[in-house]
Amino acid sequence: MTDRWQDLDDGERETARAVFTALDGARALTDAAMQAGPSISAIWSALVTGRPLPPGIVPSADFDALLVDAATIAIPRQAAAATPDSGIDRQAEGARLRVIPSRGGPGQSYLTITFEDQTTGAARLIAVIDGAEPLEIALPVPVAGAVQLLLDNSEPILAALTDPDSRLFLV
Amino acid sequence: MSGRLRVVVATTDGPSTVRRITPEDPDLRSVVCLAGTATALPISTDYDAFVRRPTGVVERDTGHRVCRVDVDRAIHEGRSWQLGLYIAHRLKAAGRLAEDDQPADGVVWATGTVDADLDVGPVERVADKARRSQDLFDGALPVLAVVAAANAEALPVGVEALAIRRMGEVLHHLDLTPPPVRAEAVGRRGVVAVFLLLAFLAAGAWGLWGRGGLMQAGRTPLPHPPVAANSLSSEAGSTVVAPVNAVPFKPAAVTFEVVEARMDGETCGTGAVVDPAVESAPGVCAVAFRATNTGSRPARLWLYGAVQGAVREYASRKRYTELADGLLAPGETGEVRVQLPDWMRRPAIVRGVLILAEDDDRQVNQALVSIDLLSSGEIDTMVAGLRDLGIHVREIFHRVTPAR
Repeated sequence: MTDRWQDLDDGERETARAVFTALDGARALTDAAMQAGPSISAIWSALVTGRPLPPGIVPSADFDALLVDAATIAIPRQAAAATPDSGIDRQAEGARLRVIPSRGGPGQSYLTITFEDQTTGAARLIAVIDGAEPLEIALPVPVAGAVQLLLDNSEPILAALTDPDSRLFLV
Repeated sequence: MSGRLRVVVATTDGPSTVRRITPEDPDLRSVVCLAGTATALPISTDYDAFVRRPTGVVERDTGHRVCRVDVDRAIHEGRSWQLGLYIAHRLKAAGRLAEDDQPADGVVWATGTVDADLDVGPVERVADKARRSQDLFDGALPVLAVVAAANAEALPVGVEALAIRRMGEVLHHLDLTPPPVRAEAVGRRGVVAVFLLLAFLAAGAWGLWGRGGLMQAGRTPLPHPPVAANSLSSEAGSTVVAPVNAVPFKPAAVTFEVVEARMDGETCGTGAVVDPAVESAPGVCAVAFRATNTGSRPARLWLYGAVQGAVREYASRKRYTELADGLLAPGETGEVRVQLPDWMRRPAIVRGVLILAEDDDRQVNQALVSIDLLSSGEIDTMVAGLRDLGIHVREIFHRVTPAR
């Protein structure tokens, strides 16, 4: 559309107006997304390159969909809340995640992730709860198909693991 | 060198003292942590392989399957920590490791590698490590420095020193027993025996052995002193066989019951015998397991009661358990009473274990000495092991809801 406006006939001007309206609408959508947090492309880039997630992410269906695509294993919401009595034990196809209190370190717990396929691995665990920024923690290289981390119980991600509404992604 | 000892792993950054060794959940891997923090040191993966069967020697020789070791200085790399940590595990198993702020009678300073045959190998920069530990050597406590024979020239001066080729040399020097018979060489029954022996070795780890028998927190003696049931002492001090031996020992003559107690005003009442198969209304404050000897000869018994499940890990380890043992004369009753976590609103399983024998049984004592550290599954294994040995064991599982 390189012609000048005065050179267009009525039909062409109608087409141009429609295109401008569409572009404007698209820009409005993009601006709205920008105001809510980082762009989808920035989030995707962080997921696939291993960089930390950009700040300001608001969990949404789109964000969950991105995580499902990027993740090695996704652990969905669980049926019931975990309690200290029952221990934290969440499973999905391909992996089991547990939190086991340390007997030797009061106020500390072990986070263990066991992969069914020992060739599977993940660089980080991302926990998503609606209404809060996602939490992530870097994972060490699995040994014999298992990852083990020792954490202070004050780590926010441990609290997220006990929330039955949290979705967990091994990315 | 004898008594309770502190172990120091020599590093080029300075001495790294073993502060504590704690058995962890068997589903975990062993870790080395820095001074009680959640910082797992990079040697943890190698340490796990050093502990865990089939590669590890620690589990094989002490029964310590998964452990957390806390040291007060980071150990970054290499394998020179193996000698010190192996000695620490052996002292722990013998109840002679000075942990945390426990007073020590001496210090073992060590650097070297240990292979599967317990051959001790040399390491580099021993002289540097010794220099960095000079303050320790100048301290008030006697120090035994232990290195591989090939490192003998670098041994520090002014302290007792030992250059060794085999681990047995330092174990002998420290008056520790050699490693037990390896379980692979024996059958199932032998494996149980080894398990029991390891439990015995672990006894000292918790400082539980006393002069008069087991002295464990939460463990109470039954009314009679633990004398042999088939012997009486004459005035001259010699032992004669009692005629009671003519009556065969009948474990069935000892009854085993469960008693529920409820709040009586502000205190937990004495309770009443209930059917263990029936779950009662909420508000049970304590459960007792009671054994009564209805037979005609004394019975040696061990009684253990515990709240099952993870609740124990979230509270004090010994808070919801009790162990008692002793000799029960005909007509007498003994019991253990387990307080319940009154905040629990969900049903809990309380387990009672009654072990009966004709006489004092060292294997039972060995098995029970660290029972508070065992998971429910491990207690299952222990009970099965005792039964394999022909020991009479009865159990009661009773379901109660503590909170009103």
